Amino acid sequence: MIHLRKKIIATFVLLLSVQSNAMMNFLLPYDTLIRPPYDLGYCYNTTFIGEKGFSPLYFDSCGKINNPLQIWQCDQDALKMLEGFSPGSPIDQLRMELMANDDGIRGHIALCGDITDYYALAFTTRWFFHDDWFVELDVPLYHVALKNVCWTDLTQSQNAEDARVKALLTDNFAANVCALGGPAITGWERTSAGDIAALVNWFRDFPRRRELLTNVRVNFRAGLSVPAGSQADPDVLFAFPLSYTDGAVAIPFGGGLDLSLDCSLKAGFDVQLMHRFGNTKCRRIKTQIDQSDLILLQKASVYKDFGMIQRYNLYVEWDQPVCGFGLLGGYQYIKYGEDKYNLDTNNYSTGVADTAESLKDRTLHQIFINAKYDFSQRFADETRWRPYISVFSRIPFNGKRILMEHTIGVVLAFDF
Amino acid sequence: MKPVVRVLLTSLLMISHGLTWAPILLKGNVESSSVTFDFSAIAPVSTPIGRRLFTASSTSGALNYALTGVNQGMNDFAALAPQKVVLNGTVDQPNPLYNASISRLAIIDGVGITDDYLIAVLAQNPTQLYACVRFVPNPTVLASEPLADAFGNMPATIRQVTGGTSQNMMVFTAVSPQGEDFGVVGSGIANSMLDLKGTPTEQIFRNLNANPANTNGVRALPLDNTSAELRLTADPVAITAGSPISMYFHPSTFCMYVGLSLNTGTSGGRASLLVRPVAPYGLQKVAIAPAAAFSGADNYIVGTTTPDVSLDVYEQRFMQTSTGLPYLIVRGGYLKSPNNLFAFPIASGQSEPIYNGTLASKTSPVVDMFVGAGTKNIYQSRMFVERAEIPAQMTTDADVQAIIGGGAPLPLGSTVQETLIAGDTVFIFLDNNGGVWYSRALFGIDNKIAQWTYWQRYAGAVDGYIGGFLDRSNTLLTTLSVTGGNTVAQRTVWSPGDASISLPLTTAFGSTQYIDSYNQFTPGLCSSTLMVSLNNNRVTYAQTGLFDYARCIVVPTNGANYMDTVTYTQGIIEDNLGVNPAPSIVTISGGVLDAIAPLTADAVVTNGTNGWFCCGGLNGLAILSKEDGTGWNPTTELGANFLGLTQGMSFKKIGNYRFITRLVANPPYLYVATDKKIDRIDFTNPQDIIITTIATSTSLPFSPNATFMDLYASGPFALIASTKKLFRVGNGQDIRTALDESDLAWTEVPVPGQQTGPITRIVPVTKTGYPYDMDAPSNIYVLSADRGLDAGQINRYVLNAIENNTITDATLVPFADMFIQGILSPWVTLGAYRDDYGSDGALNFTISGQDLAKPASLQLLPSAPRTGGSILGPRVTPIQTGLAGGNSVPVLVHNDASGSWFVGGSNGVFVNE
Repeated sequence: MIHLRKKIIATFVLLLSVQSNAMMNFLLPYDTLIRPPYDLGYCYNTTFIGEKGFSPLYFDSCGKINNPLQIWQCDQDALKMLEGFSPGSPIDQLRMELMANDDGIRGHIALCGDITDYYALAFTTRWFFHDDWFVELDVPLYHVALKNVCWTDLTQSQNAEDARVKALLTDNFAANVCALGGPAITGWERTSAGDIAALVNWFRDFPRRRELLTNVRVNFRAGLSVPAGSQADPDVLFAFPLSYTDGAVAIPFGGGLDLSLDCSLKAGFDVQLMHRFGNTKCRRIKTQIDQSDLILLQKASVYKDFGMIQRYNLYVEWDQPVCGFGLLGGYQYIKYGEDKYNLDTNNYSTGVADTAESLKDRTLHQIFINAKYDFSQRFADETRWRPYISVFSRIPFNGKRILMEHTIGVVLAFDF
Repeated sequence: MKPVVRVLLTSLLMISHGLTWAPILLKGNVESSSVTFDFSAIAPVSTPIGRRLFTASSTSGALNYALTGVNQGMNDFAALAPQKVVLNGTVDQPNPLYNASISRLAIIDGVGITDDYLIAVLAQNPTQLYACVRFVPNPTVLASEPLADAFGNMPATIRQVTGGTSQNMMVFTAVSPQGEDFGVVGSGIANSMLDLKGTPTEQIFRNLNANPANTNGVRALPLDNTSAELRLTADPVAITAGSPISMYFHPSTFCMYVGLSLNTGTSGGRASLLVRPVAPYGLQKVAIAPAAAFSGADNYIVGTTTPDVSLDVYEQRFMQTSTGLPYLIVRGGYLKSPNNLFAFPIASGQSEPIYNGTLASKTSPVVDMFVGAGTKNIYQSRMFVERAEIPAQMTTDADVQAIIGGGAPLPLGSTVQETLIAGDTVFIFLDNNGGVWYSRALFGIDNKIAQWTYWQRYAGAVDGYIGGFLDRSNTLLTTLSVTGGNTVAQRTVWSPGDASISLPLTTAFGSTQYIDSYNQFTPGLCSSTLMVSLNNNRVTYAQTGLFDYARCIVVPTNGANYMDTVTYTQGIIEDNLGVNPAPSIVTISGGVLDAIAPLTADAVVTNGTNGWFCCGGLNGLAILSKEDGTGWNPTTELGANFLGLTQGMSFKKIGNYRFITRLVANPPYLYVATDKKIDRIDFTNPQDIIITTIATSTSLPFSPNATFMDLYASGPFALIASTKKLFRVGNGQDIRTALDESDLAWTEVPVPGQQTGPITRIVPVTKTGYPYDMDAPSNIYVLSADRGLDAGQINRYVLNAIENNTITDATLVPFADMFIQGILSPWVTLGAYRDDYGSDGALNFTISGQDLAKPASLQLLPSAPRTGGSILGPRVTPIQTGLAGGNSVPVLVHNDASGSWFVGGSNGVFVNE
C-alpha cells in the first residue's frame, strides 16, 4: 500500500515535471555529475538541490566574453530595425524620413545590462524497481534578473544624417522603440519553475575480477520533458525563457559508462541528447537580414523547429568508501543545435527571419567539482533511511552565444 | 582652414598627385609625358560600346604602330602592324601595313572582345583593302584584290570605307574610276566580304559583285552624279570633287547611310541615301525620301530644290532612343555648317521593305509592336510607320525636335570632327580648343523627340579633338587630338581631379554633404556658372566658369584660377569681391550658419532687382544679404569673381524652419521644403518678405505623417515627392498665387508600376539645364526607393507646356514605358535601394551610401536602358570613384561648366575628368 502511494505520487510529479533551458547554464537536476549515487538498495530517493550563481561570464558569437546584451551583436542597429516593412507603414515612413544611411555607427546603440541574482532549486524523487530500473521526476525552480539596463548612442554628430537620426530616433531611443511596437527597453526579475522531466533509467553493473578494473556500469535513460516554466516574453528586452524548451515538449535520452577502478577511482562518460518538438507561438522576427536581435519590431506567429541539445560529460572521481568522502571532477560540454523559424504569414520572409543570431547554435564548456559525503558508512545496512550530501561548483570557461554563471550548490538526498 | 593654408595644401596636392590624377595619357610609340604618338593619327574607329579604339598613322614612319589600338581598361596602345604577318594564308610575309601611311580605317564589330576585324586603306595605294583578322598570336592580314568600279574596271580608287557586322562580314567601299573624282560615271559602292571559314590558307577577303542588275563580273553599284537617288529631276547633280563621303552601316536596320557633298545642279538634289545588301547578292540604293517630298520649301536639310547650291552632308549616325524610336542623325545639310546637327525620324514596318530606313513623316503615328497572344502581349519594339512622302511630312530646320543642341552656339572657330551617339545623347568632338560637347533628346508624350537640350560642354576645356569614344561600361572618355605632327590620346579617370582643372576645386570642397551646380541660365546669375558645396556650417561657392562673349560659350575655370580663394568664418563677407580680392572660390562659415547647421540645401534667389544666396539646414534658413535686406544686382552681377558680393553682406535667418530638405528658387519666389511642410517665400519686397505655407504633412492628401522628400516647382506647377506618393498642383491651380494649401488641391500623380513606396528624388531634364525653367516640354525622372524593401525604380514623365498658366491632366504625363501591352511600367527597375539618380542621357548613374559593410558607391546602369527592357536588378556596374569609406549619403552632380561628373561625400569629392 505504501509502495502504491509512492508510485502514485511519483507518477503525479512526473506529469508535472519541468526542466530548465538554455540561454543560461541553468541547473539540470538529473545531471549525472551532481546526482547522488543510486545503487544502495533502497526503493526511493528524494533529492533537494540548491544553487547560487556568481561571477558571470557571457560569451558572444565569437566566443569572447562580452556583456549579456551583446552576446548576439555588439550593438543594436536602430536603422535596420526600421527596415523590411511595407511601404507607407509608419515604420517605413520613419525610416525614409531619417534620410540617412547606415554607415555602421549611425543609429547604432550599445546596450548593456547585468544578469544577476541567479538562484536555482530542484526537487527530485526516484523510485527503484526490478533491481536495474528506476524512474525519476525532476522539478527545478529558477530565479534570474536583468538589471542595470543602459545604452549608449554611438551616433556621431558629424553631419545632417547624424543630426536627423539623433533627433528622430536615438535621442529618445527606448520610448521610440516601444512606440514602434518593439520590446520595453527595461530590466526585469523573474522566478519560475523550469521544465518538469520524468525519466526512466536502466543500469547494470558488470563486475570484473581484474587487477585494475573492478566494475563496469552501463546506464541508459529516456523520458519526457513537459513545459511548465516561464517562457520567453517578446515584449520585454531579452526576457529569455527559464527553460530549455521555450514551451516545447521534449524527449531527453542518453546513457553512460562508469568504470570503477581498484584504487578507489571512478571514471566515466555520459551522453545525453534532447529532442525538442517544435511549437508555434508569437515571437519577434527579423524583417531585414541585418537587423539586430534585441530590438526587433515585428511580432508574428512562428513555428520554431528546435535544434537538438547534446550534452557530454566526462568525469573522474576519487571515491573513498571507507570514510564516506568523495571528490568528483568533471567536464561538461553542451551544444544547442541551431533552431529554425517557419513563419505563419507571407507578409515577411522566413528566410530573413531565419537569420536571427539568437537562433544559431550555442555551446558551453564548464568544469564540475563535486565534494560528496555519503552517510552510508555510518548507518547500518538495515537502516530505513540514509542521507547523502554534496557540495558542488560549476566553473564555466568557454562558450558561444551563452550566458554562464559560476555556481556553487548543495545536494541533499535521502534514500528510503 | 586659412586661405593661405588651403592654397599651400592644394599646391602640395597638385605637386604630389598632379601626374597621377590628371587624365591618363595613353602610351603609344614614344616615351613621353605629353605625347602618345610622334605621328598624326587619323580619325579613330571604335566598337559600338567602346571596348576597343583603333587608329592609324597618316604618314609613313610609324613602323609597327602604323596601325594601333587600345583595349578597354588598358593604358597602352598596342602596335598592330608587325613587320611579318600571315598574309593571305602564307606565313612570315612582309606586312603591307607595316610602316605604311594609312588613309582610312573601318571596323567590323565582332561579337566577342577579340573578334573585331579592322579594315585599312593605304594612302599610297588606295585600290585594295587590308583586313586585320587576328592580332595575336600569329597576326593575320587578308588583302583583297584591287576593287572594281561600277564598270567593273580595276583598279578603282577607294574614297571611303565602312564595315558591316560580324553576321555578314561585309565591307562597303565608295570607289571611283582610277584617276577620277567620286561622282563621275563609274563611281559607286563596292562590296567585299571576309570569308574566314576554314583554315588560314582558305580564308579570303573576297570582292563581290555589288550590282545585281549586271552579273558580268565584279563591279560596284553605280552611284554618281546621275543617280536617281540623288537628283530630284532628270537633271544630274555634281558631287563635289574631293569632298568627304560619309558612310555609316547600322546593324539593326541592316542598311548603310551614305552622305555626300554636292552641287544641286539645275534642279536641286539630295545628299543622303540608303544602300543595303540584298539577296542573293549585291546592293540596292534607296532614296532617303521621294523627290516629291522636297518640293516647295528649301529647308529640308538633306535635300533642296534650289539649283546650283552646295548641299553638304558631312556625317550620318543612327540613334535608337530610350523610348524605342529610331532616328537618323545628320551633320550638315543645305545651308548648314559642319556644326549643325539634325535628327530625322526613320520609318519602319513598311509594306515594301525597301523603304524601311528612309525618312519617316514627322507626323507619323508611333506604333508599338508586341509579341504573344491574348492580353499579356509583351512589348517588342516601337516604330514610325509613315514615310515622309510630301513636303508637309518632311522634317525641316525649323522643327525644334530636329535641332540638336537647341540652337545654342558652339565655340566659334571650332569645327565638329566626329559625332558619337550614346543613348539619348549626341556627342561632338571639336577641333581648335573646342572640346567635347553634348546635347540630349527631350521627349514628348508621343515618345518622339520633342526638343533637344542646349549644347553643353562634356570635356576638354582647352583641347581640340579629332575623335574619341565614350566607354559606356565604365564612364571613361577617351579622346584623340593631333597637334604639330604628334598625337595625344587621353582617357578620363575618376580621381580628386586634374591639377590643371578641378583638383583645387575638389580640394576646396573637401568633405561635403551636398553639392549643387548652377549654369549660366540660372536666374540671378550673370555670365558665370557656380558650384556650391555644403558641409555642416560651411558653404563653399566656386565660380566654375565664365561666359566668353567672344566665343559665345562658357569657359571653365582652370586649376590655376581656382587657387584664388577667400574664406570668411563669421558668416559675413569682409571684402568687396570681384576686383581685389577676385577669388574663384569663396568659403563662408560661422555666424548664422552655425545656428542653422548642419546645412542641407541651397539656392540662388532673385526677384529681378536683387540676387541672394540662400542656405537651408536642419535648424533653419538663412539668406546672404546686405543690412537692408538687398542683395546683388542680377542684371550685371553676380559677375566675374563674385563681383556683387560686398563687404558687410551676411547670412541672416529667415523664419523658423527645421529639417529643410530642398530649396527651389523660381523668381521672385523661394520654395522651402522641410520634412513636414512646404513654404513659399515671396521676395518681391526684400524688406517685407511674405511667407505662405502651401503644403503640410498633416493635411490631406499627405496625412497621416508623410515626409516631404523632394520638391520641383516651375511657373504655376509644382511636384512633391513624399514618402506616401507623388503629388502635383491640382488642375487650374497656381503655386505662385495660392493663398494657402487648400487653394492648390494637391493631386496624386500615378506612378506606373509603383511597388517601392516612397518617392525620393525628382530629377528634371530641361532644355537650358536650369532645372526649373519653363521651356517645355521637359522631362522629369522620378526615383522611387525604399530602404525597407531594398528596392527602387525610375519613372519618367513629360512636363508639357502649361497653356495660359492653367494646369490640366495633360500637364504631366507618364512616358509610355511598358513591358505588357496596355500597362504602363517603370522605365527602369533597380532591384535595390538607391539614394540618387543622375544622367546625361548617355550614362545613367545611381548612387548609394555606405550600408553597413557595403561601401558607398556610384553605379552605372547598363548602357541602353530602354522601354520594355530595363529590369536591371544587379546588372549595374559599380564605378570606382573613391567614395568608399565615406559615412554620409553621397551626392552626384554634373559640373555645368566643365561637363565633368562630380560625386562627393564625407571623404571628399571625386570627378571624372
